Amino acid sequence: MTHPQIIIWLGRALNGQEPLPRLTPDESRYLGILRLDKSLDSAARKSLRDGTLGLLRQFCDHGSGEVSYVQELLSLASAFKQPETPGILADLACRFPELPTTLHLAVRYAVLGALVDGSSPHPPAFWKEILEQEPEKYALLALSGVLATDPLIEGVSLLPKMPDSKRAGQAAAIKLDLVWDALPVQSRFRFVEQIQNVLGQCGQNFAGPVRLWSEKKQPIRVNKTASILLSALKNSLGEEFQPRYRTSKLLAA
Amino acid sequence: MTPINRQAVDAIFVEWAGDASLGQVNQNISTETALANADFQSLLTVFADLLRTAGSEPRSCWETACRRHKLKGPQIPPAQCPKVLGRVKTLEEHADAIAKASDGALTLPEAMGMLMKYKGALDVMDLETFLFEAPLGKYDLVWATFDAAHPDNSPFPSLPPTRLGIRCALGLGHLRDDDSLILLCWHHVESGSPPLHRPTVADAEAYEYYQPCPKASHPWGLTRPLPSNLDGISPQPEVVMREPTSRGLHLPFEVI
Repeated sequence: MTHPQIIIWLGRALNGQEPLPRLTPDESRYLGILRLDKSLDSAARKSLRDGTLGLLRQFCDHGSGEVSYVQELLSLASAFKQPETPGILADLACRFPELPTTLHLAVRYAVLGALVDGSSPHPPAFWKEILEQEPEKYALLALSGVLATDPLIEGVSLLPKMPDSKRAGQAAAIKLDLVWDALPVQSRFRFVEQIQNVLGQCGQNFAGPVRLWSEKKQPIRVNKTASILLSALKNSLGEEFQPRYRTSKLLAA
Repeated sequence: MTPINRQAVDAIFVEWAGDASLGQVNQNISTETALANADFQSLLTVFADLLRTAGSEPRSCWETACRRHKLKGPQIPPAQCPKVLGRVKTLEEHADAIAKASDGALTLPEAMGMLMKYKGALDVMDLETFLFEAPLGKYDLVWATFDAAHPDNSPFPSLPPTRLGIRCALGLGHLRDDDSLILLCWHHVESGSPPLHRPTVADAEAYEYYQPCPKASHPWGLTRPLPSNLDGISPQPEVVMREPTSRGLHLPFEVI
């Protein structure tokens, strides 16, 4: 197929008008395209990526499109991880305020989600600008973006700016939990401690689930305290602390 | 059907007979037993009208005709509905559903990470809120299975515990080596009791892994285990319904 033909085929496939290798009848189209991609030769795979980038540019130039089609396109572009994709999407995200009605909120979320998951993370300053656009709506995706680059300082400092709802707190707890899992063991306690330090500046509804999560990470602190107490007890009791062995009478005989 | 419509449809069926994927659709149309005569006639008439007037490809015409005839298979009487239903999706598909339903709260990798972390767990912590908001299917129609011998239980313990075994038993389509599957089951009543229907060729559209149940009087559909059925797995019950809520989702869910 020529490049224009691939663009047409991709547009049709993303709209559900082309047969795709699907697991179930209701599977997302982009997953079918990704499956198909695995079976293609390198030239065809490159064409598919170029075609996806072409459609992405078309969408970003106009900032409009049917929601389900754009969501499928963004998922596909995200999965292909083309180096140009994050720049194109970041440019569109910065133009969100100029596109007040034409771009559905679900599409904006998909754009920001694709940016968070992109191959080249954007700096915290970028995400803070996004947050300023619509704090109530974009806060949690901005938090994901910042946590991806600087969880310990910038990430934690963003928590007081989160919307004051239990649901936002639950989402933040999930994000923090995943960051905690990925952190080196020696940084985890400091991370939790810093979070606890800023919770007083957060709204109560938001802080609730985050506090609950941070308290579940406390056993590490308890273990540390326990080991300090144990060593103090050892020093104080001296020989008394040593285990007492019974000598077998048979052995003595 | 008018002779012109019949001619249009017959010509397409001859064309499809030689196609690997559409050949199965062709065969399914000729062996369909669940659609009432009037609905079957209507499906073919709409298909023929679209073929002659819409100017689209035959496959698109077929899919459009099918979308106008969804959930026309016999409804299972409410008293005979299984209490627990189950379905299989790729892990990525369900993580995507969670991320989209979260309205900007979670990203796909975050949802995927949490699903992996809490697979097999009864307490899924903060994920619960988002798990119960996510749709179980897409495009408003959900395909599900159940355990006919134990309709109060999850269908999965009676199925092979491997990805390929489950895929074979449920007659699912394409699977990549790196696709993980999520096994979801839910309580029918707690999820809103959407009417359960026996699937028809119209519900399946052009999905080539579907095959109509040969018995016209059977209350529900049966899956077509894949040809590589080395373990001799029996066809499993199969129903379709409008998208239920996820309120009745059972924990734990499994990922394989």
